[in-house]
Amino acid sequence: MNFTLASFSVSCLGLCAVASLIQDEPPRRFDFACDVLPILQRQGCSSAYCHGSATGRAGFKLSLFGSDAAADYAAIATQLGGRRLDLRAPDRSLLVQKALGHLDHGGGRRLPKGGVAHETLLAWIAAGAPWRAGEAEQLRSLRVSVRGERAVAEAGFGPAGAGDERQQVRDVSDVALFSTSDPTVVDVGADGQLDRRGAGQCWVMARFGNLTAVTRLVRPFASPAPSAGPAASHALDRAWRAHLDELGLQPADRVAAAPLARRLYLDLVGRPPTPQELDAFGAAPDVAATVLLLAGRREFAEVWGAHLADWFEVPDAGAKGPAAAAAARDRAALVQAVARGDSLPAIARAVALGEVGLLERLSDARDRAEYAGRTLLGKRIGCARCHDHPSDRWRRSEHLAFSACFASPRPDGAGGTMAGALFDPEAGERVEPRFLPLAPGGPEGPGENDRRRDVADFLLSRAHDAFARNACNRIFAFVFGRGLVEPVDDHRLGNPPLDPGMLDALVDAFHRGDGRLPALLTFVLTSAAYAAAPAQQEGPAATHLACRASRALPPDTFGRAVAAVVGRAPAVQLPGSALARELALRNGPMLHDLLAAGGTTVDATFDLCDTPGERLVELWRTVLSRAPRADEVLRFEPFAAERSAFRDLAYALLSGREFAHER
Amino acid sequence: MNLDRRSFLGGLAALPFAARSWAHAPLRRGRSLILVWLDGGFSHLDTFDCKPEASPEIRGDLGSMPAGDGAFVSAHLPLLAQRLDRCALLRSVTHGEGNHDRGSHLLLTGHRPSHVLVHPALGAVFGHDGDGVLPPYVAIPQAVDYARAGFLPGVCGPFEVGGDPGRPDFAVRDLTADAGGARAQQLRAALDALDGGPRGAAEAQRDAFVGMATRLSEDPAARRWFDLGAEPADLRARYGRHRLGQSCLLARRLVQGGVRTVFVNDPGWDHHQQIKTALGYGFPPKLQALDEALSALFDDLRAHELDDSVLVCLASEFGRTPRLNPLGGRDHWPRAQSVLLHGAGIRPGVVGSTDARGEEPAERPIAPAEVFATLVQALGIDRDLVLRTADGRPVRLVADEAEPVHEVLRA
Repeated sequence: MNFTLASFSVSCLGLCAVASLIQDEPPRRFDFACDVLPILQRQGCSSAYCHGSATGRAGFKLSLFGSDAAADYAAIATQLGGRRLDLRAPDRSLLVQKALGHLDHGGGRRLPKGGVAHETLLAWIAAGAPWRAGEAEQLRSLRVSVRGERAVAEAGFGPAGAGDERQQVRDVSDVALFSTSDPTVVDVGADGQLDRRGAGQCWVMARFGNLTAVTRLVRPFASPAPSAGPAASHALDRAWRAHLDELGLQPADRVAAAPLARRLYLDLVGRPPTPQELDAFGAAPDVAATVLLLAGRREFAEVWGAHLADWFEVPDAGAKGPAAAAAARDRAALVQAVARGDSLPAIARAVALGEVGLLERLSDARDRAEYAGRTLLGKRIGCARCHDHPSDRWRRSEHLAFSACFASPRPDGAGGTMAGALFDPEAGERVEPRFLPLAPGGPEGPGENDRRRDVADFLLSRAHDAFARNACNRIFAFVFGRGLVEPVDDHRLGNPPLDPGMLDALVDAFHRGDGRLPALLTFVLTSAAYAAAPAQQEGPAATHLACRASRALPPDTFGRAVAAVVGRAPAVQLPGSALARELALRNGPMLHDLLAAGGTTVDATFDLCDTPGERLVELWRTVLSRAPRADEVLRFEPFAAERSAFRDLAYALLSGREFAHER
Repeated sequence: MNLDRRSFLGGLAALPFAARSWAHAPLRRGRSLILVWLDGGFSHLDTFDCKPEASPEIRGDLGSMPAGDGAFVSAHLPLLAQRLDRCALLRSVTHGEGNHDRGSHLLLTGHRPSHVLVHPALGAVFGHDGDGVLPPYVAIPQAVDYARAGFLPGVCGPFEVGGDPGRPDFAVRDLTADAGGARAQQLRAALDALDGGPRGAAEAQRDAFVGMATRLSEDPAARRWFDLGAEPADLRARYGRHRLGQSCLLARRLVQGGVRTVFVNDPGWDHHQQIKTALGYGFPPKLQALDEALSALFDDLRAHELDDSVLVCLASEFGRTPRLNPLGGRDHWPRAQSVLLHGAGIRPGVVGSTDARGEEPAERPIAPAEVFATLVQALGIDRDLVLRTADGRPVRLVADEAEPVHEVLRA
């Protein structure tokens, strides 16, 4: 017989415990947060549409997604004079009767009678509806794995600081919440049953308590086989090829020199190459040398300064009102920073210190914390402003403590300032500033002397490396048109990168190059992944980066490209909305007036070339960075014989599908 | 309206690329919405919820008149007062968002503003399953921030006509094809054809909009719906030769042509100072312009037999402080505001009231989500419609399962 005094005293209270003694097992010790709350979460009781709504339902209010276990315990165990529970006859408890649908319940029947969740509720009530099991039996870890056709969630319980070996592991699949990142690949039922559907990769996620765990599943498009050709020497390509091999996808062939040059120039300086630059690259297609050459130009600073402005959410050039001047200053400062060759961490530090960007213009400390989270850490913590994050680890208390780091300095009474304070809007108490718990070790919060510097140090710390991962993903997104993590400001366990290996390779390169933009761009642009041929249509190859997906040039890049190709800047910019943009291209003055005014490279081409054929080749090389195909020569050469027709031809190229996209 | 709520987003994604029949001028089908947005927050106390018995610093100096059903409206709205018996006036709309952006998000989407999600306006959801030449959602002249697609794809956003419809030379920008440009367009089409078709979603979306632009440019009948010059001069005068009046007239033309949602944006209602001057004696006086524009719109819809199918909603982000401030203005006041509804089966009458000083609802408090649900119901949209964000998160169109204001809906 093996029982403790505690278990003995419990055993005196009910038959359940007596039964456990007879079976020579210690009676189960219940914990509301780990045993009951997950049932409420899984059955949707604490969702926004049910008792988790702002006003609850039918007089019964739970915290949204079970974010406040103490409040939920109070609502169940003490409200209505404790009438929701009947400790002497658990099955007659209002909570159980409603959940079984035996009493009128707007949410209908939520629990099957006799199921694990039902039995757990009964046992918890019979055990006296305890709040906590004890400090030594708290939830410490969560793991999800796939066994056969089922996802299994296992939770580890133990005292604080207990390693895996000291934790008691329990299968919590019956009460954990399961989801999948892509139900078209594998769907997962509430009970963890997997439904394998299409090919691809997805992550199965389990949530239990405030912990989340994921596991990756791959269903190849074809039998996995190593791709042909020599092993990749580029670190990014090694990860890329391994990813594609696993998925059974073949990487697309490398594009020829001319389209590669077009990509490079559009990405680096926001315009196509001139025919001379095209020839030079064709003679010596050295990507690294081209990056080095272009990174020293003013147009590189303008293009990448604008990218950084978008990254740090600086309003665009068309902003109105008081914010316009500040936005213009910030945009100019970012262009200058790129022109000077400042590293990305140096630029980010300026943002963190409020020297550039929006940090100083947001009046609410919580807005500042969320801005820093999005732009510098690549993390959306905004949900946790109101409730614990439903698909990430962030708790409301952590959001509040992190926001306190950004509280405005206040007068110290002696003519100076002192660190600002933030008060919990609900409790009214002063909140101690604390960093987000991204990595163990290191300072937990800022000091009193130079809080901004301490916060900047935390944001850019290599201990968690969140900035480096965020920066690499953003740069990748600027170049490839999509991030490895999408949305780019939503790095979290439940939203893993498309290819974790590629992101790791980028982060390594980022650190090797001290976070310098040209070095990182050289690493990305010299990869075979960057030079992959374009997709002919949407499909898995484009989704998994086996080839390049075509993307539209943004309006400002389009205007820059037109100006470079025609030799004169258009008088008007394209409007933002899609239909208005196509109407403007079709009927507006942007292209028509620009070409009709004369004095353009189009007219120069017409005048300087001797034959219609030569004109056609030169126009195509200038606008599309390639020679015309035979069918195009056949169709369009007659229009190169007369000036106005030649201008119309130039218009057709500039407003056509190919020029408007980066392929 | 037949929206499959489960496949809504999938349908949207396919929308721009679906083959459409453009050969004929569209016939208007189903219900339409004209949302007249008085940007900045119009004063309920100086428009539709006057308090003639309150002290001068509450009631203001603009005067009021009885309009039946216990309502007092501004003396500067005589035409609307005569037509109030055809409208539903919600006088007790209330919420807690006193910031322009947050209030706009709440009124235009029915959802409280979120730190992580911008919800779509009704026009981005409603009527995109049609096959007309005209775009389903048009903003005159521009949409405000939260009258756009929100988390839905950009294709759901409004076509913004730009310009000022009140100007004599107003014309929707870039709508008319240059007769001399036919060859250029033929060459562009030939070049695109030799290119071998769109590669991926971005190019397909571009092709779809090129098609829309082409059809709109080449269809004089469709283009004509944007032409205010086609209206008789006396009718234009009845609407008022100002921005709001001509915008409302253009809205009537567009819903007649098949546009499902028209957002009419009238800025300049944020009167923190000298509200009496701005509303009563400006250039044009804001109330006179509103009176002319809206009353002419109601009459015109009836004359075109459209009042049973076109829902007109007049709203803004909040009301204004009951007590005049020292600058003679009124500040932001979300705890009480008025919303006016007309047509599309809306049952006329006054719903709710505010207390003697117009500070709080005295009876029948109405949340913005309930106003939104009322529009949804009146337009025949499934109130249980669930949208999906780009990352697959399900979001109900109607927040908090709000009930519509049943008093104004016909059974």
